Amino acid sequence: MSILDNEEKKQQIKKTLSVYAVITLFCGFFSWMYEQFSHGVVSDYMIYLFLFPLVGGVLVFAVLGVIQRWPMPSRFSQNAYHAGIATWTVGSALQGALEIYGTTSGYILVYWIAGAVLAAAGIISYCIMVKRGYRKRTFVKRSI
Amino acid sequence: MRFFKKPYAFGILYTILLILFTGWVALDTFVIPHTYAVVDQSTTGENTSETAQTLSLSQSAGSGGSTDSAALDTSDAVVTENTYDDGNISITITETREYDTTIYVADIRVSSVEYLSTAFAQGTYGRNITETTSRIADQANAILAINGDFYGAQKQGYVIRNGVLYRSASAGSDQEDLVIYSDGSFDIINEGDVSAEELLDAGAVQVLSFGPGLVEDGEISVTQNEEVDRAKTSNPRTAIGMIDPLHYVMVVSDGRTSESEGLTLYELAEFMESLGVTTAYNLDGGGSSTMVFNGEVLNNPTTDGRKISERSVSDIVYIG
Repeated sequence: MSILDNEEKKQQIKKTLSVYAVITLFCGFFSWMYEQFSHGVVSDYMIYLFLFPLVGGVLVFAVLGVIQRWPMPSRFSQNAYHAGIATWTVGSALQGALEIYGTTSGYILVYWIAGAVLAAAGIISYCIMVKRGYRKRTFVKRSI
Repeated sequence: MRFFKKPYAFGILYTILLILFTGWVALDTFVIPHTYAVVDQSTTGENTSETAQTLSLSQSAGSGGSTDSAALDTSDAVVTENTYDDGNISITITETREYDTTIYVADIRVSSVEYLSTAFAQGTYGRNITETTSRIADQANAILAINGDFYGAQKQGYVIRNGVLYRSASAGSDQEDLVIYSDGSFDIINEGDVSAEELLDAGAVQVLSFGPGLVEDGEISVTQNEEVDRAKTSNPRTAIGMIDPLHYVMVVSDGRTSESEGLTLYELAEFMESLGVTTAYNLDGGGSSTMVFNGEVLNNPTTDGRKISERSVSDIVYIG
């Protein structure tokens, strides 16, 4: 990657990290508030809600930022991956709320599956992009 | 595909989709009524099942809702503010203070287990079909009633009521149920050990699926460390216990208010044990906890501790 590419990637990573950090804090606050009004009934899905944006967002994009040779994911990859993390986060919040209320819903499965499909689509498309990028560079070097 | 690559358009559209879907799931879970069977109040019950696998209305007469209560003659009953006695049913209500909590105890003696019955909200077995305990009690001509297990909040867990099997889907091997047999005896079973059909064959008249069991064979069967999530703090509680077959206690405690803290599950078990029960079982608590006697709500039901009002529930256990 060129210096310009690196600078652009840095900016994008910074922005993404900030958004995920805010979402992580919001999730932590939301869980804490929800537990305050749940009369001692707790749910792991609610308690650990913040882990989805923290691990799936902050941690992943921090690693992406540290490893400079990895390019910024394409818009498609980012959209799919962010949607996956968002789906898991909302699904976890809803599962927690249902557990605290003392009920269940078969539709919760939709969140886990849809989240997994979207996140996987984002990761796979990124891997393909990286692989193609390397191939292209290798081809260019050999041609020279 | 081009739309999918746009930075904000996709995000906005997906967020809207996620909100709409979540709203729909919440409505389906908490609001939209799903009727599975309408219980005929006068005969055996009429099957309008949408889920045939959960319903078997092959039982004989006397199995539907408040059939027996309809025939109950209360004209010779001696009724006071705290007692009821008609020769077949004898009820004494006492109010006591333990653990900084007001506890209402109904001591019940009946001549037949038929007087210990259950009823569904709106006479209907289904999900999100609810009414207040006092309203269901009124429709069932109940003398005394407490809230049941709120079966409608779950999709699994055995439901046998008045001799009819409504739901045979197991809630898992950890689920403890209260079984009331045709001889008036109580037993606490684990859904992992026995099927709903086997319970019915063994003479189960009522199966309540909430729990856990509080007292078994006269011994407290929960410990402070083993308490389930929902039981760790002080809350309004509802419990039912058997001293002897045809001699029962129904207990409701106030909670979540400055006047009445509420009970932990272990405190409730200790209290039930002190009443001399051999078997006791925890029913739905919190805002659902309600005791109705002669049409009057005795306790102070509350969900948030600020407003005293009855919560609508799926079902009741009653004497009548």
